[in-house]
Amino acid sequence: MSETTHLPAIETLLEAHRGRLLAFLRLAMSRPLAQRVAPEDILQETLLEAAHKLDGFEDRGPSSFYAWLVAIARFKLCEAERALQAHKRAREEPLQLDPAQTGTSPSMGAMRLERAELLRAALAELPEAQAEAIRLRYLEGSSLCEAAARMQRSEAAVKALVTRAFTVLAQRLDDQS
Amino acid sequence: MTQPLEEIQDRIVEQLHAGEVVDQAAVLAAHPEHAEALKGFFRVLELVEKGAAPAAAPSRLGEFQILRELGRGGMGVVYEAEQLSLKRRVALKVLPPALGHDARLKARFQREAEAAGRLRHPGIVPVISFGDVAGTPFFAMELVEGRSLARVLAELREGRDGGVPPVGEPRRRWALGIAIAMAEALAYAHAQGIVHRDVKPGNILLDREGTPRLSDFGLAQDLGMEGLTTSGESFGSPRYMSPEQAFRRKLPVDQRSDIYSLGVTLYEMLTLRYPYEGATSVEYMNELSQGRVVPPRKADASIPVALESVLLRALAKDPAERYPDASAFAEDLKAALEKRPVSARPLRRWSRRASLWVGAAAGLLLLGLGAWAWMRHEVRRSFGPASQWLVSGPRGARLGDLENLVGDSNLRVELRRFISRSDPGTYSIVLDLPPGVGEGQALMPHGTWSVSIDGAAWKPLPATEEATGSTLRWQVSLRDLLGESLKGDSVTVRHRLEQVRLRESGADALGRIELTREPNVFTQTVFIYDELPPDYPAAVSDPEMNQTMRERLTPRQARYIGTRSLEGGRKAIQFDLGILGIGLPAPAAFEVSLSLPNESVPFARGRFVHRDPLSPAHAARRLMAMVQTRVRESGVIWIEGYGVGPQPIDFVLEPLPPEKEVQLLLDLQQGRIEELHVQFEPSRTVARESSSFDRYWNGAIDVTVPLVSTPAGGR
Repeated sequence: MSETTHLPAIETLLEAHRGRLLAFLRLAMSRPLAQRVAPEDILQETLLEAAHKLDGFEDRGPSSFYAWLVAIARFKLCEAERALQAHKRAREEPLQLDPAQTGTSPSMGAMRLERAELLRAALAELPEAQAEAIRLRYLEGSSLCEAAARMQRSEAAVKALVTRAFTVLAQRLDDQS
Repeated sequence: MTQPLEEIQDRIVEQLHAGEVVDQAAVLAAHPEHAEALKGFFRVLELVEKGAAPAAAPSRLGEFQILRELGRGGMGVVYEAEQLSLKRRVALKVLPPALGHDARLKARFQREAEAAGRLRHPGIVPVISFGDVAGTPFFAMELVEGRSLARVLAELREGRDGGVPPVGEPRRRWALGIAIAMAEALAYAHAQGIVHRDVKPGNILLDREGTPRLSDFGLAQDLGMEGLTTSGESFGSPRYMSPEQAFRRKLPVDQRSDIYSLGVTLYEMLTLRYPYEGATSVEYMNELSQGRVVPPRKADASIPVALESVLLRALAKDPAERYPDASAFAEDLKAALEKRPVSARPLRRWSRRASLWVGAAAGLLLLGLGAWAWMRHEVRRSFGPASQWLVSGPRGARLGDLENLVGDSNLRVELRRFISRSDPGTYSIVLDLPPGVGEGQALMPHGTWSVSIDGAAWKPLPATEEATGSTLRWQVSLRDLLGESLKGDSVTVRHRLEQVRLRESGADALGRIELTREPNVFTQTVFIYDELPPDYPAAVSDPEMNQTMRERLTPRQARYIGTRSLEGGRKAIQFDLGILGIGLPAPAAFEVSLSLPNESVPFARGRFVHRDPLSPAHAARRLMAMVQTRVRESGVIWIEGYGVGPQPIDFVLEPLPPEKEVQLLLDLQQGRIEELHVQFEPSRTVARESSSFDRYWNGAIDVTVPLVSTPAGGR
């Protein structure tokens, strides 16, 4: 939570990506990790690191800033997964203070998953190509060109898939409410 | 012009990726043929971007029958509704039910409704009533039949006529008419002590006759009632935000912010562009942070000079340079409309003075790493990727209470420039002292340049030096001086202003240092300070700086995480203070205590350990330090230093009698402790040569933050 009216520019800039990045993290986190770590914590780490490294960012097009954030988030996710594995291996757990250990009870973890579940479930029901298109282009910030190359389709086809995916998701959401 | 849906959506996705705020209403208005599909698309975006499911529309609230959704704002959803008792249509603004449980937000909403309810002006959409049904607060506004200025501007951008007069003088008269009406409405609201804070085309509604009315005082806040502005949502487009709103400044957001935002709106009406260049938010914010307004006449040469002056004054980066109040703005707008002389000065003089003073004021306020990052970003753009400035020496503080500098004073400034081998050039430093400081007085500068290659010892570097009036100028040409000997991966140039004697001075003043490498100019304000006395921290303390630091250091909320059992029957209590602020010097020490209704229980006391305070790289990391989690354990507390992993802090456990400790745990678990008190002690241990930050921030910080026990995910 931040004081929006007094946000410094750098935070305003990062805040604009918070929701999307969170959605990305929720989808990308493994279940065991999600039970123990709040995606918000990883998000926080990511945004901090981004703020720290902002001058290392090179603008390569409209989506590149967000794609850069996603790259940092992936790295943070890796670190958390690694910490979790290390944590599992060590039987006697000393009290550690990295975010991977910060106050996440299973029930809280479950609550947290609810919102993510809604989106995750809706995405899971999408045809594979649509799901991949929307994940690459929207949630991960790939450029059209990259997404097209990854999916081995034309850029126009990727755009069409994204649009179809959004349409289907909107219908799902309407059905639920 | 019909665009395929895929194109529209793809562009919006890119806008989001670039940090843009997408104006849903404008998009829908521009593409009526895709309205249904786009609404569904926006619902999905809403779910993702806001991280929550969209609120289902209630069908009825009290005596209001909800008919349809009109739009979503920073704080709530606006519906068209029918007031059943009076059988009239109203616009109903509803706080999302999810937020209705938040007492703070609710209190804020009510305050806004009360504030807006008091306003009665032909240029303001009146609030009819407000209420609260089953925990959902709402307020009803008069429904304006027409469209928003944002929609009109979107149509104009699409190449349609938007139902407004044609480009040229008729269009300008139309735009001025709207701006004058809105300035007058603002003047009225300001006189009632209410600042709108979110003036933008989307909040200016044009009724059927085209009469503009300012709506949605949804973010309005009583002047002097700070503190209830917490909202997790990012609102508003940064394009209309005043610099003091967009950046965390110690400047208050007052009526002059509204003047600025109205200025942007007028600029947009006149040119269909924004006053700053920059396609993405990153670029835009960067330009904004530099205060580089594109002169309106550059966008449209037919704009009269007088009107340009008026606009530029409204858009001044420093609020003090703007119109003092909205009626003065309205007067000048009228004068511009009627081709009478305006009070605003024309561009040339304005710009020179403004760049000096605005630059100075900007430097004064751009503190911390956030600013540092921006600055470096900017420098990278101007000077090429291989070079970076590191300004070491305090930046942008006051000129050390110049009134105390009676008699001879030694001033010192150090600048370092990391230059790539391929990039030698001419560098100069200009030091401007404000009028009254140097004029007619003896000003005897003396400075030295030195160079260091690959971190080797400093070697002196000859340079020219001159002083005229209140300006000191030094220049050094690396190319000439080093020639072939300029070998190595990094070349650092340092300028040290050894001495400036000011025989007398009574000015409260700022100095500006301008670093030039042709053809670019980079302006960086530096703090010029008295030679550090040995007892510097105690001797020099800047209350304003401390206020800024206090604002940055204030945690938004502390979270009680819980307790854990440790071996030996001991318990650990965990708090999360969140991020205290990005770009802070780590304070030297801190104290945390818990506030109970009748007493304050000391909880922990600690001292930060700074490794190698002299290393700039370390300084950068240290600045990122956040007090993320504290644990009352066996005398160990950690501070998460970014990039360096957890750093130990010396820690003293406040001794508590066992029964007190048990009581404390109970109180915590049952949520009886509502506040956490944090006190930061100033850093006194940092050596002179270290990063600038600790030099001028010397005050202790003392803050009380609300303590909640909600889980991390609950927002």
